[in-house]
Amino acid sequence: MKVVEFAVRLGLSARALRRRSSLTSEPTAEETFSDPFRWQTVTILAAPQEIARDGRLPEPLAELAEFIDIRIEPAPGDRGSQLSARTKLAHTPDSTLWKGKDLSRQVHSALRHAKQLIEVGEVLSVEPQPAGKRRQPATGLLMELTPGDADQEGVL
Amino acid sequence: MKALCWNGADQLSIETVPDPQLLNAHDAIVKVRLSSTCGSDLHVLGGYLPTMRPGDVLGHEFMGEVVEVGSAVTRRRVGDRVVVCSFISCGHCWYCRNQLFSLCDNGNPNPALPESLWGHAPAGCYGYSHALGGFAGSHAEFIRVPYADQGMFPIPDEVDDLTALFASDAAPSGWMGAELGGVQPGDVVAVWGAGAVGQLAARAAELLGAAEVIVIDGVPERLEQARQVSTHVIDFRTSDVSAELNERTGGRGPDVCIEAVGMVAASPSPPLYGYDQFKQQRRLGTDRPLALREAVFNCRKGGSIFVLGVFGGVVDKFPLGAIMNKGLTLRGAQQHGQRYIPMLLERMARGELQTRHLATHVMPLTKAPHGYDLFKNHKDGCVRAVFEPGR
Repeated sequence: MKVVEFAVRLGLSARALRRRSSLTSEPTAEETFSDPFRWQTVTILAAPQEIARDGRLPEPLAELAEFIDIRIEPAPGDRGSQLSARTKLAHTPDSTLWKGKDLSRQVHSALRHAKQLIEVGEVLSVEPQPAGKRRQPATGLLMELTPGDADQEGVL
Repeated sequence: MKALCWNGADQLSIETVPDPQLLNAHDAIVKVRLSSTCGSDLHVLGGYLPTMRPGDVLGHEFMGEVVEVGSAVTRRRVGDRVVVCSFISCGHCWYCRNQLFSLCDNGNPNPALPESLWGHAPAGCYGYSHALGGFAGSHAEFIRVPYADQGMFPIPDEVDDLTALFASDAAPSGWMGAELGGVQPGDVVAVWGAGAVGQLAARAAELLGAAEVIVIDGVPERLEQARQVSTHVIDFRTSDVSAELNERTGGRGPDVCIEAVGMVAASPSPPLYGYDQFKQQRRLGTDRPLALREAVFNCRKGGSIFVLGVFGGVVDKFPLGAIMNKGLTLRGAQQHGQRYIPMLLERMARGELQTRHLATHVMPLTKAPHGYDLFKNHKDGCVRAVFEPGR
């Protein structure tokens, strides 16, 4: 597990460092041309017309409408629709930020939440919930390195 | 309320924790009547999963009584006696609509961790690490049940609490292994592991028409129980498993092999067991796939293998060549309980599926650390320790 734990920690730490650097310095070439401006996509079990009713973006993506490009297309094999979003290309020097936060992460989270709202009608919460005393971990250190806003991370 | 909390590898304690609350409109709160230990808890208990936090409440196999429902819950009411699926699934995404409930897109609010490990995230599960959502578990007086209309099932009057308890996880897991493993009438089926899931996989294979069911384990009490649901048992401590399987299948090997052991498999035969154990104990590797290797090696040409035992990371010395050259089909899954639980409860009501014998040790929740000691170390003939929070 140490190998996997190390790999995951490394991935999360690298991501965290990259995030920090994007908030404090000029973006690198990799950040400019790959991460922040890449299309992020979720598949939603709903027809394209149900995704954007009356031409309106679904919540919470609607809040970001000014800063993002949107693409909605049917998914193959009766899987619903593919809803994609990306940060608009370099319209201002701080185009990767929104309200001081990494815009691409906000897009990531908004896509996940839009999917849940359309498919289920609510965004699943997990906190607050019962737990014992949060002692310093003997194992499970990985959890201490995991960002609390985990729905902004991962594969899309 | 009282709850059993994980505090690090092999450290458990009963603590007073806040009561659960309704957080979403589709939630319910269940007063837990019975909550079972499970073999997969041992991976958590032993610290093999790095995604636990001290203070997490354990337990995922449970039944109880509904005491509160959210405004969007329409099919269940306060007072219902229910069994709850261990996996948390929305019922509306593509995976749920295709009956692949443990792959639900909307049941895991913490998808980044499993996506880092496995590429994509499975559904959430109660009390089973933050990789599966970080939900509080059922070894407690009360538990919050998200997507309550999807995951809670009313228990028929004919089915007692202890029988129904295992419809939460062990019975649907076992049924899934046999069904998705492709068991057909006339097949010879071999099941590695005679714990609750293995026994119920064997019984499912029998009900699906298998001509012969062979169960393999090394714990006498489990083998004794397995004799009730199989045509033959093999004790790997005293027998050559490959030789016995060949002898009983006319040299073909089993048509379907079900692995119900997982990442902490044991074997008396060095050197591979020693190799796996050395790597795992020094955290150089994650899983010991001894039973899985054996299943791959012994499965007949063109046969199928279903992985029910829980694995967390990567395995070493995996016989991929046998899979390719023998034309095997390898499948696995966490349990799609919502697909099977109503049918299993009906079978329980008709007496076709016996499960209460699995609960060899029933005790108050306050004795849960002792219960895990009995369960983990196979003491006193323990097959499953079951906790009663209300006692």
